Amino acid sequence: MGVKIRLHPYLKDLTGGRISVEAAGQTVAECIDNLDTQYPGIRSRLCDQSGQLRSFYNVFLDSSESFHLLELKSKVNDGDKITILALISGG
Amino acid sequence: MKNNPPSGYAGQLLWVDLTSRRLSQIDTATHVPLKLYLGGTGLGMRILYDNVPPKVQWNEAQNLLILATGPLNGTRIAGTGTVSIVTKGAMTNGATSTQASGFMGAYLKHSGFDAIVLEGIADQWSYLYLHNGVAELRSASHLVGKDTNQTEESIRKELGAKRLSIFSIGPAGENLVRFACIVSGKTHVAAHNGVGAVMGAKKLKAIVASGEPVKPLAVHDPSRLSQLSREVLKSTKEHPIWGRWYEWGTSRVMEGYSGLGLLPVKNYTTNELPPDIDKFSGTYYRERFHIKRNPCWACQFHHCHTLEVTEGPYSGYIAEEPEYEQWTAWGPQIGVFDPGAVVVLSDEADKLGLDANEGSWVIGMVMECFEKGIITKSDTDGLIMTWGNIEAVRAMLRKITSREGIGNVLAQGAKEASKLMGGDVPNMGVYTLKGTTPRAHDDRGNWLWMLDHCTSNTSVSETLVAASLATQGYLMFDADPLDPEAVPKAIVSRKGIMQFEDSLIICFIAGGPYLEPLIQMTEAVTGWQISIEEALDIGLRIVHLMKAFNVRHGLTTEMDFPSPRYGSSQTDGPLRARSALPDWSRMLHSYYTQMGWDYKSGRPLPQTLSKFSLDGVAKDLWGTSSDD
Repeated sequence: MGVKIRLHPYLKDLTGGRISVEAAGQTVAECIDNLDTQYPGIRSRLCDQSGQLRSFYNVFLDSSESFHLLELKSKVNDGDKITILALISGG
Repeated sequence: MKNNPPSGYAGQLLWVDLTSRRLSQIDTATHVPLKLYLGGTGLGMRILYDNVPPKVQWNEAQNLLILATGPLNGTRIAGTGTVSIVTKGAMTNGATSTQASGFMGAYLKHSGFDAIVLEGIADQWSYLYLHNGVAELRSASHLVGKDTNQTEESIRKELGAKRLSIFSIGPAGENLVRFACIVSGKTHVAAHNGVGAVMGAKKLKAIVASGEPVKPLAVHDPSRLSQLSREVLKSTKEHPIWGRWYEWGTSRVMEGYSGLGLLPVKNYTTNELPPDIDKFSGTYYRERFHIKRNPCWACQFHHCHTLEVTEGPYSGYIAEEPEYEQWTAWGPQIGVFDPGAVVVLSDEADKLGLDANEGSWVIGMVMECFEKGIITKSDTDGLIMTWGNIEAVRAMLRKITSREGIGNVLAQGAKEASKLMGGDVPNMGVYTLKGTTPRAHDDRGNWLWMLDHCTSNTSVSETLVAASLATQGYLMFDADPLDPEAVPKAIVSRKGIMQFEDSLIICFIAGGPYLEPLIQMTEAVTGWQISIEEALDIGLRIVHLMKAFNVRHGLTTEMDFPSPRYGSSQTDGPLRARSALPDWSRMLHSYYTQMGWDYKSGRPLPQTLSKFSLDGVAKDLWGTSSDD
């Protein structure tokens, strides 16, 4: 059992239409690297050239009741559920 | 009521008959049931519905222009300088609710009024001045032709008072340009559906409110209100979107839009961007342009600034910092990629009193026509309307303002101008069939916004510019924006929140990410107990009332469609979203069903209206209520 990841729908062109995927890793960054081996191109979609998460993508430890924001270096465990969302707004 | 209004209210409306120049002060609560409508958009919409019958046109005397506050205005809560303007708008000839921030929401209340209702048409240009609980109509003949900055400066000098909020129209409003707006403080704009044209039709140049309080504003539980304010600020700073707004205003919004393929570029003809698009982010220009904070009433956000351009051909130009909408509208949307130039165009549009969204879509359409040879220099009086030609845009904005040459056609807005231009142009314009244009987004990649804009009863978003329920957490962002099943469901699930906020009224940015504290603030101010369900009911009541108004005033279900270009597919860029048009009827039908509206006639069903205490409206629409 790895880390269950729910992706923003804008990424599903890379995953054959799937938004629920699974990855191995002990940090968010490792999970993204592992995802990239399964679905090439997903890392560059999520992260910029310096390796930082793009400003409009956010990673949450899965809880519908609150924002528990994670960083790339945040530790995750097998069985955890995380969500990657694109948060955009006008103004 | 006048002697003892509920806490949070001044207790009286000012009703101005511009034709007779008669000013009347009317008890607010006996005019509108405040617990059902609160204030702001709710108050204004109820008055509009009750007093403007079908067949009254937007520019006729019987149309009302209403500036309304709510119970939070004038307290020391951030965002409560915002005011709601409600009228029958010039673009759609239907209901409008548009908001502007700054100080009017507080100063209007401090002047002694909950709202101003303007009817009639003055026989000479006038401005309205509110101070110390009284109101006077003064001559504005010396202000005619002045832009909005000049108008403010003249009035401040004339009145000599220190604390004034001034809302004025520029020459665009005077000349009834259909997308004219109302501007305050050089930067706060009541932009949508031609509210500036409505004001111009009434020969009203400005509305001025003094910030010197008539009497202290009564608040039921001031210490609870202060505590809630601190909690909202804390949750704001911790939220991924609101936290960014707190630090950066809207200056970093373009990063997401450009990164995801949602930025409108050259009238939707492409989604490819130059590599230095990052110059439009606050991380670039706030480091280089000299900025100085210029906050609204009681606001601590690092949002509004005055800035000085420090690079490029417009170096030295000083103006207000554009919002995301303006950075995009006067930037990539018309092929401009110099941030200094955007500052200039944004400032010019505000001074002339032109809505940035509609103006940009009009200019973009003209540029595409010019590129394709549909119009030439002879049509534009010599202006070379190529993508990114800033000086040509400046000149064309002035032509539109003065209705000169092709400007007279373009002054009608994108939809009507495209019809007048004929040929394939109606297929090239980005607009809703209701008659307005969307915000500065490429909604082809996000049908949530497209459905919201097209179905909105206010002419622009009526759902997504709002907080969310804390219990929803981040799920509000979870809907697949290109799924025809998920999109209407997501929109309906959030319906009513925006109208509740716009009835308090509070700036949705400063108001924070969650609805619940706003309800608690309202309780702390008024002493009323309001459940979440009741708060949502207030918002939904306003939505159904607006829909009923629009149906009675001739707006049909068929108008809830995007134009061919607006609903088209993206051909390049990172997303390459498919067209919404094949799924549109299905989505719209689902939306209407979930809202409790009849798809064929557009009317809210009697049982829907009855649920929200709108039985009288049901009789207007159906000749019966659900109880008959």
